[in-house]
Amino acid sequence: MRNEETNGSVSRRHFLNITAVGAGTLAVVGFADSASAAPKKFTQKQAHYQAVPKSGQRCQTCALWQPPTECQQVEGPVSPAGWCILYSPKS
Amino acid sequence: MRTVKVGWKLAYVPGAALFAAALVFHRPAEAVPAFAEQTGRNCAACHVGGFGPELTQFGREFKLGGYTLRMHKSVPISAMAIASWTHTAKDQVPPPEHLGANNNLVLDQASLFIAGGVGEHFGGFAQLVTYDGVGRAWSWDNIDLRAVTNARVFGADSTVGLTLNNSPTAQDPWNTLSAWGFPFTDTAVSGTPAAGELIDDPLAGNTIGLSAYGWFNHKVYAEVGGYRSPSRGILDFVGMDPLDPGSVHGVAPYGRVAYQADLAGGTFEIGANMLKAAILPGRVQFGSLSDHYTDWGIDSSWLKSLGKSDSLSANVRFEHERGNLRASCALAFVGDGTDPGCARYDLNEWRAAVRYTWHGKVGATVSPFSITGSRNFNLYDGNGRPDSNGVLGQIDFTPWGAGDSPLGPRFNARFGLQYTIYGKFNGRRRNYDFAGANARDNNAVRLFTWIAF
Repeated sequence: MRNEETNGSVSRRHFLNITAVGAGTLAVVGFADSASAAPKKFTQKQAHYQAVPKSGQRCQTCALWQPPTECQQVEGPVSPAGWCILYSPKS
Repeated sequence: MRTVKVGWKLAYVPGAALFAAALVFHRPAEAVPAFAEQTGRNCAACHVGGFGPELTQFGREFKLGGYTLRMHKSVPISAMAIASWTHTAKDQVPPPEHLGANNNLVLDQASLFIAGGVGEHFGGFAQLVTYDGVGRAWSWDNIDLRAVTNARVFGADSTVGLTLNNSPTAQDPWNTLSAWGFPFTDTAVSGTPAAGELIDDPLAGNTIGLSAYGWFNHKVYAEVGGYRSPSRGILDFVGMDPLDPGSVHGVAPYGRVAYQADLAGGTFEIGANMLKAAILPGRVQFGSLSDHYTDWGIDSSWLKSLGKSDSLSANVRFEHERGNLRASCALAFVGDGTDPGCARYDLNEWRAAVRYTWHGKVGATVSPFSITGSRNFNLYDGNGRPDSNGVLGQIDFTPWGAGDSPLGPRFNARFGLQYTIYGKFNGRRRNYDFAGANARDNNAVRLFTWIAF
């Protein structure tokens, strides 16, 4: 019978170590990147902003809406009748 | 899942280092917490009740957009752990391996994630390593890597993309299908019904799938793709059992459509899915025979935000499976090779979950479930029927879903109580195994703690 447990142990250890090295590298890269200045709002393109409502949803009824034409998360100006993917109904 | 004995102490070292690294490198913001950091929004923006995996409307958009939406640079690493205590109405005979007959306190799982977007077109969610504390085994877990682009289709703003994933339905943005459906956490400690469909779990982690999808006008979703089995060596390497359930013969096609719109002030979705697979059981090629499965289902969900961070969500799905286990019967993996009725069966499964979230912190969920099907003494013990049904109730508390944890905005936790009541179990209400066991003997209380950072 093949010694599956021994083979499995070695390969799994390699798998975990590869994971550790890869993830650690990503962590360092990500951390270094994060030191650069970051935008505070999404662009309208990123947010898939449109100037008309979507299925009855509109900026004016969104929790992120800041009258008269601002959004907490999307670069303005935005229309009260607009919509984007960040839409979250006002509580 | 196969229990793989690993060089446990050695394997633990890099894992522990990563968990520590995720803590050390925590960034301001709060999904997996790596996504919260990337988008600059707290867990509650993407997840109902401020904790994964049930997605809000924005969470679905983020996933379908390939995890690429970014406000901040981020560290694409997260981790989570789930521990629980489970009491069943009667002691389990025999007890679960390594555990007592009842009142078991276990680490259900601990996982390491790499999750983030690269540029405008590539992103991924990779639950790269999971330690199963009940089976005492390591394996990979849900992985969903995406390539996306925006497009105008018939004048409408749309997203089209590819998803490379290792579990059918792991790529789905609604919480109606199996991979991300309720209950979002369970345990291998207590007994569960024997019957289940192929799309539920057996292919999770044992296949690699590539799908093309379109999200048209933020309303219509269409996906088509297929799954294949990785080689035996690869499955061994990632901690999966290459023989369970066997290898997919050729490609198993998968399709999914859904429509989402505003309904009664909430986000409504209705959809359908299909998976068809021919499987060589135990990876054995026996002439031209294979086991055939055809799964199709319909699903629907509705999510409505109410005042003071309250919300109401409902998810329901029905799934039918028709199976023809010609190869398993011929090889006597099922039955003794003499029964001409061995091969065919039908299963019908449905599950619903209705959740109310109060003030974004306290949730109550009621989830009835049922599986029924044709009688087949070769597949099922007892009276030969797969029938099980019951109700799972859950109350949970998520104190820091808004990113206000005293341990930092990347730390989130959920504490919960689950109670499962069975009406039928493996065919019958009473004496289902003809050895005196009743369905209610499997009723279970589970207290769990789930942390993520």
